[in-house]
This record gives sequence, C-alpha cells and structure tokens, in this order.
Amino acid sequence: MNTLEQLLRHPEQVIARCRQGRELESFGRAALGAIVAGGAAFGAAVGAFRGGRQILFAATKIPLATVVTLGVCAPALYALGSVFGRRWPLRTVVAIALGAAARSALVLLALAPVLWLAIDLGTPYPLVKLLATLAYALGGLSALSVAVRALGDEPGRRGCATAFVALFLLVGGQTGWVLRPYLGRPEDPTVPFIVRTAEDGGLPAALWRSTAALLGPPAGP
Amino acid sequence: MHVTTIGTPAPTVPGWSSDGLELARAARLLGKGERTSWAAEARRCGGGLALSAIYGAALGARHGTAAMLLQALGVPLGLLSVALLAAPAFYILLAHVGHPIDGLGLGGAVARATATSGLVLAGLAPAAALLTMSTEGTASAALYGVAGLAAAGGLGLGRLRRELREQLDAAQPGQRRAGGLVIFAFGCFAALLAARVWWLVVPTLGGGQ
Repeated sequence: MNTLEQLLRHPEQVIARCRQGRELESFGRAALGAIVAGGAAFGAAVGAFRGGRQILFAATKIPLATVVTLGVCAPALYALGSVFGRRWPLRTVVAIALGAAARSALVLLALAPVLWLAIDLGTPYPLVKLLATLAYALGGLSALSVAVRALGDEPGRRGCATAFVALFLLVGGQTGWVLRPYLGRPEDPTVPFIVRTAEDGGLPAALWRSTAALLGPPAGP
Repeated sequence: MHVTTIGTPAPTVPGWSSDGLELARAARLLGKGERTSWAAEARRCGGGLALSAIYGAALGARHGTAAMLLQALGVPLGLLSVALLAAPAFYILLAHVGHPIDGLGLGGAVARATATSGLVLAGLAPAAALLTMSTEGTASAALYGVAGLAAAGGLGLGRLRRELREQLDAAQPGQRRAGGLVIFAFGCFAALLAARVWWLVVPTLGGGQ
C-alpha cells in the first residue's frame, strides 16, 4: 500500500510512522506532492469559472496558500504541542501537519471534478463560492481527523486541537485572503493575479461586513 | 580551515534543526515542576523572555526595524513585570492563607509559566508577522497582536494555576477555597498588569502614542 493510500485508509499507521520518525523524507515528499497536485486540480476547477489564465492563477495560488500556511503554523504547532504535553520533535510535528494537509488536498482532488461540472452546468457565482467553501470545509474536516488522532488520548487533547484549529483558520484564512481572487467576480472586466485594495481587516473583517450586509436592512427603492 | 570531502557527512550544527537537542531544550525550558535552584529558574525565566522577544519583533515588523527592536523589548517587559512585581505580592498572600509553597517553589512555578508563554509567543511569531503585515488597518493589526499575547499569557497563567492548585489538594477545605481565591485574584492582576505594560510599550497595540 503506498503512502497516500495509507494516509486515506489508515491514517493511524501514518501517524505512528511520523511519531517514530521513520522514513520522514519520503513521506514528506509524497505529502507535498499530494498538496501541490490536489490544490492545483481544485484551483484549476475554481479558475474554470472565469476560464483563461485564471485557471493557471488559481491552480498556482491554492497549493501556495496551503504550503505558506503550513510553514507559518509549524513553529506554533510545535510550541503549542509542547505546552499541551506533546513534546514531539519539530520533524514529527511538520510531518503530521503535512500528512493532515495532504489528506485534505486529496479530498479537494476528489471534489475538483464535481465543482468543475457544477461550473460547466452554469451554476451562478454565489453558489459556486458556496460549493468551493463547502469543499474546503470537507477537506478541513478530513485534515482535522488526522490531527486529532495524532494528539492521542493524553490530557490536553481538546485544548490542543482547539488551538490548532483556531490557528489554522486564522492563518489559512488570512493567507487565502492575501492571495485572492480565486474565482473572480463576474462583473470585473479583468481578474488580477492578486488583488491590491485598501480593504481593512483581512478575512475576519470581510466576513463581518458580508454578514452585516446580509442581516442589515434592505436598501430603499 | 574546515574542508568537507565528498562522501563524508557534513558536521551537524546544534540548533533548531537538530531534533534531539531541540526537543531537550523545549523539555528543559518548560520543566515538569521539579525543584531546582534560583539560578536555574532565573535561566528558565530568561529563556522564556528571550523567546517572547521574537513575537515582539514580529509585531514590530509592520513598522520597520526600530519598531521591531522596541517591541522586542516591550513584549518581554510585560512578562517580566508580572514575574518581578506581581509574584512577590502573590507569595505574601499565598503564605497568608496557608498555601504550602515556599519562595523557590513559587519562583520555579512563575519561571515555568513565563517559559510557557515565551515558547508559545515564539511559535506564534511567524503567524503574527503574516497577520499584522498583511492587514491594512492598525486596529486589525492590534487585534491580532492582542490575540497572540492573550493566548500565550492565558496558557502561562493556566500552567501556574494548575501547579499551585495541585499543591492545595491535601489542604483543608477552607484553605483550598482561600488559596483558590488568591490564585484567581493573582491571575486577574497579572493579566491587567501585563496588559497595561504592553499597552504602554508596544506601539502596535495602539498605546504609548
């Protein structure tokens, strides 16, 4: 059974391998390959909404966002793990994080054709956004199951998992926000590689503004 | 001059990338509640403060080199103020309500709490740099900075509270209640004191301007 199949079917075996520090280099290469391939395929599907060079842009940016998030979060995962009694070497922490991200990327790879078909059938922009978000959430849940299993049954599991999730949501959300757009609004004549606007607050503020707009009073006639 | 020949493994440099050493450092820094000496606890506390400086520098990266240096001093100062100003008062109150801990025991617990906060802050530093530098508004940057400080401070205080509560297990119910109250009051005071110092000396948080 190859590494990626093992990651999907028996993540606990992969976790044991990471904790024992066995063949981490080959595992890391396989996991990174899955992150790039899965993210690129999903990104290409997302970019298909606009078509043209946006396919290439989104296919580049989604794996990039994942890798940057992992790189930024790794020291924090190591520190938080140590504080919550998981005194693993940094290599082990990085390997487990790569494994979790690879599992999530494989889920995205599986969902890429579904999203592409939805786009091809003419699904409107808001629904495509929602579908892409749902796919990401499913991938995130798959990654979370690896992280929770890796934390074991020792005390502090819930606190550590909560800290990991909060950190990934915040850093991943902001990284994704910095690298936007992925879909590109239909009303925009062109879509740049990266949007440079003076919108304040990053992803949390944007979510807040969207929520406020949805819940706010309807505009007058 | 050192020459590395083909086929000879390059000499390993001890440091962050060296797994055994890195793990041993983290374990030694955090400790397990063992009794050592004032000098050892001071080193542990210093290690935690040095690590927390990385977070300060990351927060200051938004405003340039001078701010990085200033905030690299400001963040440890908040933790140091708790260790130097609040801990002695805490000891007096704990002794007053009959808590069995002695000075070195409390010093060790405070040093381990400082090390915990420092390690978490150092770990969060790359995330803090990304979040504060990619956010346009100062209020959002301040919010991210505060979130990291609150998380690390909370984990440090949580560890201190756990260690002190464990020592109260064998005490009388009245002593346990009084000890618990003093520990809670210290937590509130330490959080306020650190927040005040950070507000004054960490410009990213909006104060001191």
